[in-house]
Amino acid sequence: MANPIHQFEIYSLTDKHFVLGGLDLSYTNSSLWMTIAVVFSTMFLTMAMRRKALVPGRMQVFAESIYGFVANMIRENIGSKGRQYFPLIFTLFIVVLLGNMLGMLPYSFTYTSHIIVTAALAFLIFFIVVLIGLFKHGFHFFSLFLPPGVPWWLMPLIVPIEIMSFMIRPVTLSVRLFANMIAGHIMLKVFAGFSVGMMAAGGLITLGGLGPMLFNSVLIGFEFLIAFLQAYVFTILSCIYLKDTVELGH
Amino acid sequence: MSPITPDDDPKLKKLDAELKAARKEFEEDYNPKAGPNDENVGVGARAGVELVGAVIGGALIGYGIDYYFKTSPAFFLIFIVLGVITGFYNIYKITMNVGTSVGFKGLKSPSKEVKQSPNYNEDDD
Repeated sequence: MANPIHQFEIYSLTDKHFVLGGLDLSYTNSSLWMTIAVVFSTMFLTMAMRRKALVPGRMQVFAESIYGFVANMIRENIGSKGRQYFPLIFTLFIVVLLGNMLGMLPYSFTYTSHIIVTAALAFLIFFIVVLIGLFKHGFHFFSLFLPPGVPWWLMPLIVPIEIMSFMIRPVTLSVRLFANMIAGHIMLKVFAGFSVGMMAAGGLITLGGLGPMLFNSVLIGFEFLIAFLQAYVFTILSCIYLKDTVELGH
Repeated sequence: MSPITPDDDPKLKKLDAELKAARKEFEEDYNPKAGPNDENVGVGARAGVELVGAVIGGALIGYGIDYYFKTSPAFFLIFIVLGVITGFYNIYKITMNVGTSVGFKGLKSPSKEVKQSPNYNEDDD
């Protein structure tokens, strides 16, 4: 049976490794699929919006609905002041969505299934929140850790927990996406492995091999839902976190 | 010239009735609120990781501090316990619908206020 983890292996596409300052910076399969995502999204959005028709065509409707989806998400979660973050949020959404969706193509590589990729995205959001928050609100930014309406004698307990839950944001944000993607893809591979193994066994068991195959086709549909949902959750949580840089509650 | 009313012409009358039927059908089919509810979609997907992630994050922070100050395993243990508490605290916040962001600001958002008001009917959505 094929190793279900094998699909996440990162390898250099060139024989000669490109090493710079002790770091292996070769062009890997992960880089290839990131490049494909960038090229695909840029080309798709440019082509779709090329004609700018008043009555949009199929592609334009699709591009506009993505725009509307993200714009709506920002308006609902950050407010009208969040418009300045639109380029960031939109890019983030497209990067994560395409990472998940391109991973559903056979023989492709899911770059969001590596924690270093999702952690880099999550830390980007984290540092943007901290830096812009401190720049805009100054010392007042730390009032984030004091939830309103908490009695003073609970403060020593609540404040460390609030600080802690602020610090672990990048961890939860990245682990959520990474774990969902890796678990889904391993599950698909394991069920495919069952199917192949049973079909190779011969006799009546061969027919039984259709079971995991049918189940796998259901799982693939489910995996598409997860791919979209996780991109959505990642983006919406980024919105919620970025809200702190726009306005502090109370 | 007075505006043409549907009563003037049986043809217009028929058209008016058809338009009304079509509009009613459209409004029933197209309910903008029926789409994914921003606040509820993915809450389930969020909750589990919130608990696990807090412990992992706590362990990482504690391990980092220990590694830097060579005090292993003091901070590792402290931060794991703090991580567990934080995880449950965040789960509590999600279940009580007070928002997942730091602080209780979510409580003050208008949509939550609507939901908490006695006139709000969940079935209306």
